[in-house]
Amino acid sequence: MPEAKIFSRIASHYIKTIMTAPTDEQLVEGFKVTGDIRCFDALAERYVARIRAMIYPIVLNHADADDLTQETLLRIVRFLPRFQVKSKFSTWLYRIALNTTFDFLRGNHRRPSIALADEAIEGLPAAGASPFDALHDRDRDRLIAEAMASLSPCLRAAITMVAIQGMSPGEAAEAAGCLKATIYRRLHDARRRLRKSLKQSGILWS
Amino acid sequence: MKQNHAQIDTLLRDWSKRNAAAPEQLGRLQQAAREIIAAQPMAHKHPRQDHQAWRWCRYVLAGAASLAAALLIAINVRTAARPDRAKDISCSLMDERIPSRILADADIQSSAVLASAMQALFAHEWRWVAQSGGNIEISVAAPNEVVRENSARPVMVRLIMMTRPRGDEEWRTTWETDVLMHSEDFLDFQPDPAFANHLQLWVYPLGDGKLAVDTGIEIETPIRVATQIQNLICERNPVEILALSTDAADYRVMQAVVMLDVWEG
Repeated sequence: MPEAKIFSRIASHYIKTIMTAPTDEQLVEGFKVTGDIRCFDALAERYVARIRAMIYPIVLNHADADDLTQETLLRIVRFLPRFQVKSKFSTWLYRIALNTTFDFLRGNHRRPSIALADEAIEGLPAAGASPFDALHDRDRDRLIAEAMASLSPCLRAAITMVAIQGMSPGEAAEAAGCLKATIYRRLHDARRRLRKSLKQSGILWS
Repeated sequence: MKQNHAQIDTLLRDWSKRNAAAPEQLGRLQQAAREIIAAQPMAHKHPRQDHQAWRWCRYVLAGAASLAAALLIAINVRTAARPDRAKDISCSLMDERIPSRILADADIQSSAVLASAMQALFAHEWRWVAQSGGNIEISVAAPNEVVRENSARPVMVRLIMMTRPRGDEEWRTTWETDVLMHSEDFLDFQPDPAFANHLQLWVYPLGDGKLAVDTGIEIETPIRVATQIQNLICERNPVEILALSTDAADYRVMQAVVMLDVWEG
């Protein structure tokens, strides 16, 4: 039967493509068409660290960042059918991470500064670091986190996307659903405020 | 100044690296999400994992069949629709006597003015405005509430219920409600009880005038009915979110959504 042959070829093509050279879009398509959880695994493996690194500087709380990372992964699966290959998968994914984070912040009216004291105690020195270095890093981390906490969530999101994640202002604007000019303004604002706070706390000298 | 930027960015990057989760922790998060996904057949309606080859074939066959069906519909719609309404897929599939536009330019303009006024008066503290039958309800944040800067564009959602007695041809608007809200916000509220008991809305712009819209509505009058629907729609184009017929009458609930341009004062 020629049709059966054609469809079997298509199926093998999907399997072969996913097994050998999976781009994000191929994995997304594979998951959409076949529902194969291995496609999700591969995507999650690729992005879970980046999602968490995106969320933590906004919520400034490790436990919340973990929960929101997990929630983002679940939302990604939920919204995958709506993903259009026209946009870049990573930008779409960051957008979901941002929305999940903002939903959480709004829903809980969470003030990140509340968690800072606990967070500072939770931090453990990195392996191999001297006690002095660990103490120094911890103090500096606390001051940076306090400076970040003094920014609004939108400013934190902008500086996180561009300065920490290395996204271009255009990509950040797409992820945040705003104009590029807005991102530039937020970045400028965030850096100005951070510079002031970090100078006051002695982390920045010049 | 640039040097300062670089210093700040480097500080932040190092700080972020020191606060990154350990690989084991990330693995646990991933595993937990995977277990939830595997446990539920999922809202995304996709089939579960199965390694058998025939299953793959079946899904690919189903995909190909859907694609063929979609192509057929698209061809029909294209030939039926006027060239300037090539995107008007939802309209062309509806009863011709139902208006193909339920949002006039003037309505959109006045909503944009209202959204601008809300923005000027309440900045980021306004949440939604619902107008039904001459009544206006406004929701703003409580005075002591912490609000975040909301950069999402405001959006107008119009919901219309139309009825016609059985046998009649003309549709009559039973009620109409307009909601102004921020896109990407999830709204769950009780509008004027004369129209609907409970309304849930979520609008997510996808670009190119396409919007993902989730709607949940519980209606009391003229008929008690509830529905939840997820739609991918074009801006301004009305979509039918509920169609119901009884012995006495036919009922339709239509929805149209438009992103609003507001000016900041």
